[in-house]
Amino acid sequence: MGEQFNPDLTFEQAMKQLEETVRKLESGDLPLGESIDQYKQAMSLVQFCRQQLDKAELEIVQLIEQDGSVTAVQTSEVAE
Amino acid sequence: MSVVPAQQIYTVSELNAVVRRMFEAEPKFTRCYVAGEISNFKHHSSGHMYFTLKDEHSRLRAVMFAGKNRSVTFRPQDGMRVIVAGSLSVFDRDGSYQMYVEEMQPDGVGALYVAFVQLKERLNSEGLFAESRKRPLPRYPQRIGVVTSPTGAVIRDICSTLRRRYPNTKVVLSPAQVQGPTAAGTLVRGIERLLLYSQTVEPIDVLIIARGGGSLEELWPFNEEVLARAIAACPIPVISAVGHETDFTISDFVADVRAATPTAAAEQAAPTAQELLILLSQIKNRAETALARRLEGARQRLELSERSRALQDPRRIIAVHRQSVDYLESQLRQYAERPIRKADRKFQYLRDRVVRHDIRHQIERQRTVLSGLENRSRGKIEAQMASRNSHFEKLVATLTALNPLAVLSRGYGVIYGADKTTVVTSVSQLKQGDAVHLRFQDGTVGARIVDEWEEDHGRAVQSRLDI
Repeated sequence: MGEQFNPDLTFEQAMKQLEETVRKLESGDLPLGESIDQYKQAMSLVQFCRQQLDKAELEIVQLIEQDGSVTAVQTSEVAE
Repeated sequence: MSVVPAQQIYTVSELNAVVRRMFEAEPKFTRCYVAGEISNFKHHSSGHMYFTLKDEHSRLRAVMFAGKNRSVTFRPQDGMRVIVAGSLSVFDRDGSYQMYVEEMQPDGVGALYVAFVQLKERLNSEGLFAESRKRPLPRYPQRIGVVTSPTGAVIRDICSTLRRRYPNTKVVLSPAQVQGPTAAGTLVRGIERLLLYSQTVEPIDVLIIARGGGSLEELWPFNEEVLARAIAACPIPVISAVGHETDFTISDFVADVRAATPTAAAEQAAPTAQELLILLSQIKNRAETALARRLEGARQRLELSERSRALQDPRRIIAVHRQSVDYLESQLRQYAERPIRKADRKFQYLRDRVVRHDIRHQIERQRTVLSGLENRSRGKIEAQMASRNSHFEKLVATLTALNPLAVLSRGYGVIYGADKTTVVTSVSQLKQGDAVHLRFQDGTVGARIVDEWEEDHGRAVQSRLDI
């Protein structure tokens, strides 16, 4: 336990984990030490989710089929 | 071009006015009847109806003003076949001619419309539109697949909406034609391409299939069965956004979610980052409040303990600890001794069992039993004998009392005749010289009658005996 979490979390996973962490924290059943760990974890997750939302630049790719496989290419045609 | 005199050059307005006058002068055009299919129907807020009449090869623009169309008893729709009556004229501004409709009647039902209704009913009866088939959309999609034309407003609207609201995602565009007879096939291929990408490259969370507004013919690919079945079979949730608010297609019915427009589809596919940032602030506050409450609770408990007697008197702590040491020691002893006592009890028990099985011990035991039995039987026999003896003596006494010979001991005797068996009880039985036997208590002697006399008056005859 602690403030460490997998940095490859998806936004959805992070939100889910965040909600669980806060719920645990609010239940008041945790020992003090663990409460602090959970709090640290919640703060890191909030930070992580904010960064995800802030940094993001909408990515747009277009699919191209070739010889039965499919690849994505960056496209600028639909950019503003 | 050669030089032309200025008075022969029309302005656009002038020419259109000339053509309009020619139309209006033509008697055939002041009242004519046309049969065709309604398309691009618009009922403007002013009350006027604008539409196109068409057949397989050609089109005619038409308008029916509010004052006229109030008498229309049905609701004109795209795809309906109608017969209209009215006049022809030129709309100066556009330079195009159009029909000014005064009356309109339905002419059967348009073939496309019939096909649409029939397919809708068939797929509905198969349960393809059932509410239970509708899947929820993911809350935070990482990748949004879009099947639509790669050029045109639709993909632009979707992307700008997402960029504004939720840039934390990726749009994966799978190009398709959205109009024309081959469009349905390319739309199906577009879905398949996205599924292939989702399986082989990275997962797609939600799929948008979209097209801008258009006539029933233009939207027709979205009413084709092959596309409806591809949407129904799609393992990823599908949002259908075809045409405008008022347009409904089979795709809309079979998709998990119907959006009124492509922009609305993008809004439904993803949350807004703004709302999420607010939500994150709220979560952060909740975490802070929860921890603060937890810390406050701990602090209060600490204060309570500080105030308690234990901390005010250190000796008490030692006493408490000593007590717990004592307790632990006794526990320990108990725990250590218990197995030994248990083993000891077991040993005793086993030893008893072994002893019981020892043969010598058994013999000893049987002997004890035997002598016990012997004692008991001897006692019984003796008691029986004693009781029998006393009984016997009683019998003997009785018999003795009854024995006639017993009186002999008191001096009586018995006189038997010569035959030694006949007891002589009377003098008359004897005469002088008879032999008799005298039985005494201790024996018998022979005797002879010597004399005889008879007692008078009944006295017995006395015989003198010569023994």
